[in-house]
Amino acid sequence: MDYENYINQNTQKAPNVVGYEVVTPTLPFDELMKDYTKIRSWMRRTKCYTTYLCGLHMNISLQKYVSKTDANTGEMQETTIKNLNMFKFLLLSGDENIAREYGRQANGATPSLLNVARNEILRNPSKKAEALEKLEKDLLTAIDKMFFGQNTLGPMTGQYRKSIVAKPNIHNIKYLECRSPGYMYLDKSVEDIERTLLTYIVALYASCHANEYRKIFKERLRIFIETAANTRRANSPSAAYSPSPNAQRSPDPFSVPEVSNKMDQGILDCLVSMMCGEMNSMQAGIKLDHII
Amino acid sequence: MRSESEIIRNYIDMLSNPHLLTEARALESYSIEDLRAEYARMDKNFQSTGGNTSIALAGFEMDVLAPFNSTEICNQIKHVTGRQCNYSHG
Repeated sequence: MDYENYINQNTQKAPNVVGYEVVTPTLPFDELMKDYTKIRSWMRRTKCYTTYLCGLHMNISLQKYVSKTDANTGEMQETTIKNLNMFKFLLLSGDENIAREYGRQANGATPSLLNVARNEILRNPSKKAEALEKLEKDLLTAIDKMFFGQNTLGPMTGQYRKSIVAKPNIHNIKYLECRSPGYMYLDKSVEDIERTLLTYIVALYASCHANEYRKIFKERLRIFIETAANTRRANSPSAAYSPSPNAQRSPDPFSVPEVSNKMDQGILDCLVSMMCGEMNSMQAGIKLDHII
Repeated sequence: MRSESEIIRNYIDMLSNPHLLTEARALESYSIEDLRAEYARMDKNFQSTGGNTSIALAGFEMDVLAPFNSTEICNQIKHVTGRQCNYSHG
């Protein structure tokens, strides 16, 4: 198995520094963590670094869904991830919390897929009642299909600007690309990275097995459905990535009175610094991460 | 590259909806030991159904800025991991 490295278009770099995306091969979990430990150690030792624009995307799958041996020929045959409940995966893994853990909650390139469901409920309040009714009847798969389908999960329609991408497509999922981790990931311990990866893997396993974590999933789902309509997400920039034709980016949700009510002094100072040209957007993002 | 207003809008949105950050903490409260134990349980289930390797397959895509050319970084990663390295220019 080989590593593939290729150079990205990355404008935030110092002279004589090149932006790369190092793509590891698909490996069993234990082997991947051993390789990551070696690569991280080498990168830190040789002054490699990351910025706000850098991702540490985690591609995950489960062996039993990826390959099976043909009883007659003995050859390995690829199969697909079946019975995946994306709602369960998002809620169990804590999709938005992982983004926050890595300082990427405001990253416009990886908005949470949960926003798709939120916006559906915001645009169509009857969906809330419908989903709660299905929840009462224990129709968890039906709820998942209400919000997530080929228009939201696959890379073909929403491009790659979302937290989770099913690849190669929703009809034939070989693996999930989890895009929230990143930023200063080289400063995190190997154990921190392992923890994130295991969280995704355990959530994926549970999401393909209806009886795993069933009770806690139903609790989380109920909370999510009941509170989704109380958010301002429909006006958020993330809503622009919703596949619904009704999803419109607000012309200017960033009104001055609203900002004054919501921001603390640190964020206001940061905003002023940007307006005065004292820092660029990347520097502001880093500073805001510390403030938040 | 994101615009300044986009960054601020995202942060305002998160500040306005703090529950967005706390509603999904199912596995987040797990320690690394808890998660390893859960993974071991799932792996054991897999082995009991005929699996002969670990159940989870994974890979990373690591964005990084490095003071090397592509040949150097390729050779270095091969050196530390023992795996052959290929690269292409983007």
